[in-house]
Amino acid sequence: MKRRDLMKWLLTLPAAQLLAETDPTLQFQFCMLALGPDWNTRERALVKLCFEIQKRCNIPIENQARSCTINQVLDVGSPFFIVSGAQPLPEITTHQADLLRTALNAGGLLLFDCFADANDDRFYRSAIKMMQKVFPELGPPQKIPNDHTIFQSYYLLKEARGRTNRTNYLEGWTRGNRTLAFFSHNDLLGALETDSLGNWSNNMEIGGGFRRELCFRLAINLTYYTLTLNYKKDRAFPPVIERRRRQ
Amino acid sequence: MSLQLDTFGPLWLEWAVGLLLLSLWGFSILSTRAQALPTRIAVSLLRLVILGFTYLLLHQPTLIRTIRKSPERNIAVLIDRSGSMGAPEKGATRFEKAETVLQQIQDQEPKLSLYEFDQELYGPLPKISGANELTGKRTDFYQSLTQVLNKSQNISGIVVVSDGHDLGRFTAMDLDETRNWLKRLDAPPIHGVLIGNKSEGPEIAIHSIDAPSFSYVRAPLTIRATVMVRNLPEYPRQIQLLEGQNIIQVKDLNVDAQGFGNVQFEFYPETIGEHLYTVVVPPHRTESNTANNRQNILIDIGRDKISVLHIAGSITWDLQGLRSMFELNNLVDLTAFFIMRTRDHMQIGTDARSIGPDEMALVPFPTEEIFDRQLYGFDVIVFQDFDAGNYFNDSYQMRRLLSKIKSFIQEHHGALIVIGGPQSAAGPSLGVTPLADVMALVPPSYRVPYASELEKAVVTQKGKYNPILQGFEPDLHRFQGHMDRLTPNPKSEILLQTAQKAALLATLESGTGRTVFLNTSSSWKWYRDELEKGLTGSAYQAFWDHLIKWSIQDPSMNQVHLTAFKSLERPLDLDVEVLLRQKDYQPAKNVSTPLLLSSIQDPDQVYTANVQTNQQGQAQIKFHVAQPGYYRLSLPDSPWQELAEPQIVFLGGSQDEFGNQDPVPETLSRLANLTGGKLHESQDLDVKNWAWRNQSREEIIESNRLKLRNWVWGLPILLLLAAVEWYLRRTRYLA
Repeated sequence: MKRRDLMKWLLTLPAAQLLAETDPTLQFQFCMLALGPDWNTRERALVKLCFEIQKRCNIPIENQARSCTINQVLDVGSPFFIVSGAQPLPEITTHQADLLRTALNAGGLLLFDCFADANDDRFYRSAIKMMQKVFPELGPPQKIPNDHTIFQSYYLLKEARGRTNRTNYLEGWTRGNRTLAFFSHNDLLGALETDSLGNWSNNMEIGGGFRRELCFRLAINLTYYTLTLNYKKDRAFPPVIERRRRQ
Repeated sequence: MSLQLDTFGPLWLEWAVGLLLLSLWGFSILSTRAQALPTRIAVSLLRLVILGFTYLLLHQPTLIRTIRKSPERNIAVLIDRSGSMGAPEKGATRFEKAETVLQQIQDQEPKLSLYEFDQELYGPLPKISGANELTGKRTDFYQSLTQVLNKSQNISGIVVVSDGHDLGRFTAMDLDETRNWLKRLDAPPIHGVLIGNKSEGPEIAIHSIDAPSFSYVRAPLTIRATVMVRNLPEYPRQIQLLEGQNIIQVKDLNVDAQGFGNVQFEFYPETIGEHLYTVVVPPHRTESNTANNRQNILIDIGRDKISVLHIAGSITWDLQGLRSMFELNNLVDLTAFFIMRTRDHMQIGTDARSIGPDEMALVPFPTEEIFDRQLYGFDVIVFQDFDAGNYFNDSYQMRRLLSKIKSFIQEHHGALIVIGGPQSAAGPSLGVTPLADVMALVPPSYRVPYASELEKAVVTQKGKYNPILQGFEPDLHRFQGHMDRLTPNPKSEILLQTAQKAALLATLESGTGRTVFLNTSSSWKWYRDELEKGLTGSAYQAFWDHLIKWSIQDPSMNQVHLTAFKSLERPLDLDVEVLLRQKDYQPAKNVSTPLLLSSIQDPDQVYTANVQTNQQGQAQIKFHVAQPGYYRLSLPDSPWQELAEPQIVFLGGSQDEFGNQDPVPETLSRLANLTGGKLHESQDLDVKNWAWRNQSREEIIESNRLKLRNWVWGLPILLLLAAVEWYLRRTRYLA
């Protein structure tokens, strides 16, 4: 090899390495959608959640969550999007709605997590307005029944939990037998959030440790539901699950 | 004529009224004692008549007049027109002989109703149909006799002209059931006329085969055979079921007192298409007729759904993409098992802080159940990002069960699709298991590197013509991540590879089965990329559809199709449709090729034709054969020969009829004995002396009822009598 070729090769090597690193990963990764004024308030909750999923589940997962704007949703390798906030969401354009619709139709999932005060439903109303633009055919969100796969995709759960106690259910936009988006009224991420030393950032409104554990279980179930869909409704599982629920 | 009286009240009332009337009459006699005797007698008689008539009217007297007549004799003649009646019998067919018998019966019994029957009843007919109109259907005495007796109530007798080769419910019924059935139908005497020569010597034969004409692949298929033994105290005890030269099952035979025995074969066909099975009973050394010791049955094996076993070693987006597609595909019967938690997670994860199994929705991986007991029920096994660790109790169990999967593929037409991913690259390699022999790409060691670069696939020369890649676009369908350093199996075909020639998609035909190795976990992204480009995402679904259909050897993936259509109305005709496609699945236009239809039993029966395809690569042709039987349809002496699966068809109506055409006098004899009829040979018919029902009995054909109360002369007569009595009383100064 000539010296010039060797130099070229050595110069191109870091560039190639850089390109390889910028490839979007296909491993599972949470993605905060940068939408609304307070979208990153609960960002650290996902660090803790990723850590717990790594420990508990057979899901190859990135350590850190990522964020993206709504215009980038199709560039994300792992389409599990979270919209967190308390303030109303800005209105999205038709193009942005189309992008989000494509991402969700192609297997993605959207989770709205509301940490607004009890009497403030501006975030909820703006989320409904946004989803009406993305999926106009689906109508307003429906209450998720307790026998939905989300409550049995990994842990057996009876109802939806969160840091607050506004409702004991989730709402969702469902097409066929697949729910494309969920709405949590109870500040689910708030219950999971820790500071950099590992201390819980927020107190639970009611209860303590076990209630927080139930929040982790719900978040893990959401993750499993996204990846395995209605697997737990296959014929092998309902009898076993029914028996365990009765115990 | 008869008189009918009714009561007008309780018995005491009748007596009271009667006594009252008698008292009145006695008092009237007493009151006329001063009169002359003739006058007295006349008046008393008149009064008696009037009182008696009144008493009679109280009983509502009715005059009944009946007309009796001997019923007209109504005889039904049933002529068997099933497939076996087309068999030759000394210069003429059995049906033609039956026509002669009918003529003899008509000569002596001109008034009769004519019916024909096979598995149903036709008629009454003005005349017998021609021998060339036989449709080859099977004989069913039960249906036909039930229908004829339900149609006409006053049948004096039935004549069944048949070879007795019943294949319906009648043969399966025991003596008591048959007797009850005939009693329920109020059957008249049934005379059987046997067409065909009775065999008297020792005989063991397949009497009939009961099997569905259609069944599903990998589903239980039951074939029941009835064996008949005559004049043989010792007979062969083992019955075989063959497909071609291969023995599928052997069963023991037990014969009952009437000489019939049943055996039942149950097995799981593994390939779709027309299968010709043969039931064989070994001939006895004293038997003269051994042709009836074997019988064929043609069964079309189809596919209901594609039974997929989907096993994933880790939970990824690729798993979601495949699962989502399987959930939406109505043709897929999915059994899935995903490893959601490994032993490592249980040992070092937070689950070690004792989250009870009752709080989780997990079920232990049913290794033995899936890989041992239910394995042969699947069409295809998909291992997605699966390694050889974590799922087996020990290496012995792993080798045993994976060897079974290998045998499922190589010996039982099974299919295996392996999807490589980070988990399969990092875990114990499937390449060190028995499955390595049947994998298209073999990981070389315990662990292999996993390259995560985005690659544009290069379609190899073999890939260009492979049906799996129809619709695949390398520019759109990128590969992100693949297992490195895989060794292709020497017999595999690499369809896609990287620019550095690392295999991305390879296929292998191993034994009777097929396997595919897809070396990436990123195919799910193709769907989103298609949607992003404004496409429908159908190319991703088509890729997987082709992949699965190719692996399970679905006929739709064959380059050449031969489709045979039969007609009920023309049982000896066959319409054939040919579809020829080039290697790249483009229609083979204007291609001329010979087509051969050859009899399986009779090598002399061969029909050939030349077909030319049109612009769509299709051609149609018709065949007409002279004899019923099993025929093989193929494309001989042409480049398409190896690509075309020969088709086996049965022409001539019912296979059951064709199987054993020996006359069975026992069935006709049983019918005759239970109804008071007789079994007759076709040579000596003396119809005048046959027994019919109600020959000497008269039947009431008309009945008139006249109520005297409504009789128009009743009241005038009564008034006349009263007038005479009044006249006598007035002239004799009685009142």
